[in-house]
Amino acid sequence: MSGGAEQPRRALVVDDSRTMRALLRASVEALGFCTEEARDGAEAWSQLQEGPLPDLVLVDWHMPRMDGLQLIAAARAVPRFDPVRLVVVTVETAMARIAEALEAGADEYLMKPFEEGALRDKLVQLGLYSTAGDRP
Amino acid sequence: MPNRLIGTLLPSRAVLLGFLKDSVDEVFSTMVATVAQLVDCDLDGAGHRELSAGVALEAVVEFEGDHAGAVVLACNRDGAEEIARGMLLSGVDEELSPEEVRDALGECANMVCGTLKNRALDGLGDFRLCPPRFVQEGEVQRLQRCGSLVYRLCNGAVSIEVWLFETAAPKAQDLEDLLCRSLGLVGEFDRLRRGGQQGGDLDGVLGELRGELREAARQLHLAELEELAAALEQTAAGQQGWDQLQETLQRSMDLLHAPLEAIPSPGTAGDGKRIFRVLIDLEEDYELQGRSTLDLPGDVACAGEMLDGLVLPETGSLDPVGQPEAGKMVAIVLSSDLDAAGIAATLGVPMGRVHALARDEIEALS
Repeated sequence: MSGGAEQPRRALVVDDSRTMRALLRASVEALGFCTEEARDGAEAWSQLQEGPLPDLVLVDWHMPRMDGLQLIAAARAVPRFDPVRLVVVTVETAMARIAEALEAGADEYLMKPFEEGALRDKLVQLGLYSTAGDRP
Repeated sequence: MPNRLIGTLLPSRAVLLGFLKDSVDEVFSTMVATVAQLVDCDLDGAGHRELSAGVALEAVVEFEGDHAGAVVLACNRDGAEEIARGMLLSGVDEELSPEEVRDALGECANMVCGTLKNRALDGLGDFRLCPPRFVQEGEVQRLQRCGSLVYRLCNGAVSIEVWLFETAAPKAQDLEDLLCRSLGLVGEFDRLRRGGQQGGDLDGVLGELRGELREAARQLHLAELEELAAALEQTAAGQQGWDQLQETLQRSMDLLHAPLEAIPSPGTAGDGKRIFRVLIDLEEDYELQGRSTLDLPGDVACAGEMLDGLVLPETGSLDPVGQPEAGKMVAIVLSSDLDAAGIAATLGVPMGRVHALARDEIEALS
């Protein structure tokens, strides 16, 4: 650990299902993140522009108003958001869909339903979490 | 319900129900903290109508694409609340709003349908999920129920069902029409080619032929026929050399002569060869009753077993006959085309028993 003064990492959970928001929130908070929520891509986009930058955005694919891919494409068009890791969390797992998400600018892809450790593994891969529980 | 296949590409109801069970198991074991015991598994029966305390909430997630259908998750009040608590990890003394319960149930149905789609459907075509919605009992009557699973929870029960829209499988007659058009185009192509025609008309006929064959291959799920049709077009158009076409054909021939077990699983480029192998094995038994109508009495079940999940025929259905028949016809179309264009002789590749019946032989038999 680099020291107690270090701020916890921030995550933004974007999903139109409150159940999924609650599940994802609990999962990332268990890994030491502090979290914000947004109910769709449009709300998340406002939060990204107005609030402090999150380290991680967990974003559902299919949402009203602005879907996950639109949000990702919008974020990737703004250099300020380059450091933000974008992870799509969805039941869409066909290879073509995964390729579509990655092409839009997603950094990772988490398939629902997921095992407890799957999210942690993705965050390790993204350099947002170490297996020892400390920041990398 | 008529005993017929719902679509040529979908697994049988029993196989689909097996995929549904695996999907439910995966979702419940990872995302729903509750104990669910399977108490009933039914291919056609009353399903959730038998839930003793009555259905309080019914969440539907539809899928669209090459086939359309839905996963329906029906709960009594206790079951719905238990699933919601299991997903939200809330205590029994914690009050859940009706919106929270509905949302959790919708998400659960969404994950089950998504997992089913991934396991059973994505290899067969292009499918998309619709957002979860809630229905009144009876609203899903335009769908045909393919099977239901009933689970007993600690305090309630849930029925999870898979439904399919009643879309008719391509009829043998439709396929025959399509293949006849292909045959006509082959003749036209050959006439133009022999007349020394280049460009315009020839390309147009070839393009149309390619489209017809692609459509046949799409309906029949014969990936390598599609590949052959494309290779033929490219070669005829001078976009690739004879050696490349020969390579494509040789690869097909290798698959054709490979043991059935060595042919890739359904949904891959080996599908057509599996069908052809069935035809080869049944060749001596079939009886031609018309120009392109095969009768395979007693062999349909055998064909289904050998196709291993690609098509599981049900007794009395004509579709399992129609599919290999059409596969055979496509093979004949290609064979005739290659032969008429002088390509087969140039290649020197034996076309094998698949192509044993030429067009004139079929016509003679009819």
